[in-house]
Amino acid sequence: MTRSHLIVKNLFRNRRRTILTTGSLAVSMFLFTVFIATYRYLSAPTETEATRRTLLVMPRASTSVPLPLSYRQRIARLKGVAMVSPFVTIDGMYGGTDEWLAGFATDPEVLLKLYSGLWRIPPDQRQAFIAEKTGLIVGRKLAEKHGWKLGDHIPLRNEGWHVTLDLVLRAIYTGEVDETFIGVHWQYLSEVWHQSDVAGAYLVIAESDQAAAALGKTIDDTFHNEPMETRTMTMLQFALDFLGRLGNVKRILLMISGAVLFAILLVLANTMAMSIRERTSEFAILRVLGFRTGQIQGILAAESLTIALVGTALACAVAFGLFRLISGYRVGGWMPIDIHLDLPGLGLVLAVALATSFFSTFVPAYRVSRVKIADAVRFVG
Amino acid sequence: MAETVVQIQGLSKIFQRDSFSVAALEDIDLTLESGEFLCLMGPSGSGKTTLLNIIAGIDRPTKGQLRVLGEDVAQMSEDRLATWRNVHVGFVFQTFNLIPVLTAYENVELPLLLTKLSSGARQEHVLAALKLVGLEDRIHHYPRQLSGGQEQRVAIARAIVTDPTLLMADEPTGDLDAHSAEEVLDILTRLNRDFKKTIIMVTHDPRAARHATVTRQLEKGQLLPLGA
Repeated sequence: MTRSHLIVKNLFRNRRRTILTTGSLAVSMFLFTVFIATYRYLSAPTETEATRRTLLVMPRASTSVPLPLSYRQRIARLKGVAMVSPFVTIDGMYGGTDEWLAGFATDPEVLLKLYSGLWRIPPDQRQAFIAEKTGLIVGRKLAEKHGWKLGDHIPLRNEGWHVTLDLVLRAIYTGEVDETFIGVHWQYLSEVWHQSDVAGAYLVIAESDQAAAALGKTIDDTFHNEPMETRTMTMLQFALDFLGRLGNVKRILLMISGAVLFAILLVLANTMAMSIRERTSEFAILRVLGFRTGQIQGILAAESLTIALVGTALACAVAFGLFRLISGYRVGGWMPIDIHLDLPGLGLVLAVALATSFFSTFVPAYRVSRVKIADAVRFVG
Repeated sequence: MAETVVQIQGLSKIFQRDSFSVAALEDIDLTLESGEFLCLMGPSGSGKTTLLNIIAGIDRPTKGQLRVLGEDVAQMSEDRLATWRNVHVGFVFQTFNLIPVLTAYENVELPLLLTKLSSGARQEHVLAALKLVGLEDRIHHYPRQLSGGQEQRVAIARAIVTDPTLLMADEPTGDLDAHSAEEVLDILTRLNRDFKKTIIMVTHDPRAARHATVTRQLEKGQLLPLGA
């Protein structure tokens, strides 16, 4: 027998309690791990070429007032601009159903450029979508869900539009991304909405990362003092700006993490206190046999640490599985969800596990080592 | 010439209970030579267990001189006392006090985990101790699978496995039936007679006392003169 053998034997003296404690610790640590990873993701979302090179030009004063269509040519002439297109987010209900479909309306070439590398589309379907003004591109999952086939007419309505779009399915994309997204021609929308001289916003694709970095200021300077001033930012900045408005969400995440931490501490402290208290006389026997108080405290710390580390390992394993499962998902089809536990995050989770283990055991272990042996031997817990 | 194992002079122990002071031992003088089997008798509350605990370094005297195996036990730190007990003292309790999650073998092996013995040497010691108490066929049994008498024999094996000079037994037959008690007392007698262990046993039982070589009576914390 070794001391580690003794620790394992002690851990399994009340198997149900150990399993339940480890389980509740694992659930709490799982939540903590997810919250911490999500918090870190919200603080610094993943950067891709699309989020770096794509810029969004919006009205500075109010997003409800569209930009003039004349801006399109002026933006296109600026140095470093590869492509530019009016841009509108759309959401409408399919046919007679109340299912909302969401996507973008832009020039088809810009849309396909935006998702190049993410969407796989057969070349003939790509051409068919570009060629037809009422053309619609949808994700594979959405098409399969409704049993849509190429050439089908897909009606899309929204009470605010006062018109039902009659779209024709011309392309179905596949990819390791959200496959429930739709794309339509902005030209078609502007015609049915009778808005031939305005665009909601503009999507600009820069020639390079360097060009994108400078382009935002250039565009805004170009329209400075115009009746409609612009506010331009890269998709990454847009994402950060959007997430910045979620400041309270991050704070809530931190608060919940703190509450979860406290719960973990209570669960483990309660278990260790019960376990130590009911073994008071056994620790006295160990001291009679020659174990020093430090050695007994070490055994107790090891028991608590084992529970904490096993619970944390289970929590991390499940959290990693979850992160893997959602890693292909992209918000709005372009902003990747890449929540993962990096080394600092993992270090924080481990530090929490260690601290929880230490603080849950310190007081009861100290108290039991202070009880006089003669009194402790007779203790009935 | 016999070596002095325990030498006590003017030893007293006062327990403080809230605002009350209780004198558990008063001005005790006692000398115990190597190889003796001392039986401490007396009514409940007379201070027998307190004296035993003080000699074993489990409790500390309020005043007086105490030397055990030539060491001033009362002045030792808690950690040094623990190591000293591991090397020199074996302790048997009335209620056996085995660790329930460990087998008989593992319970006996516990004190050896603090030594530098190899696993093979530890096994040799444990099996020898269990054989001596007649439980070599119960090594894989847990305490709950043993009778009271067998549990106490495992406790004795645990107490002697480090080959201590001094063996302390606090009412070792108090929780046993007559037959089991006799078996336990026979083992203690054999340890004293054949292995020259110095034993101090606390008991109420006059039959148990007959196994000792010296019997001393305690009454109201005072050690009565020899033969009283």
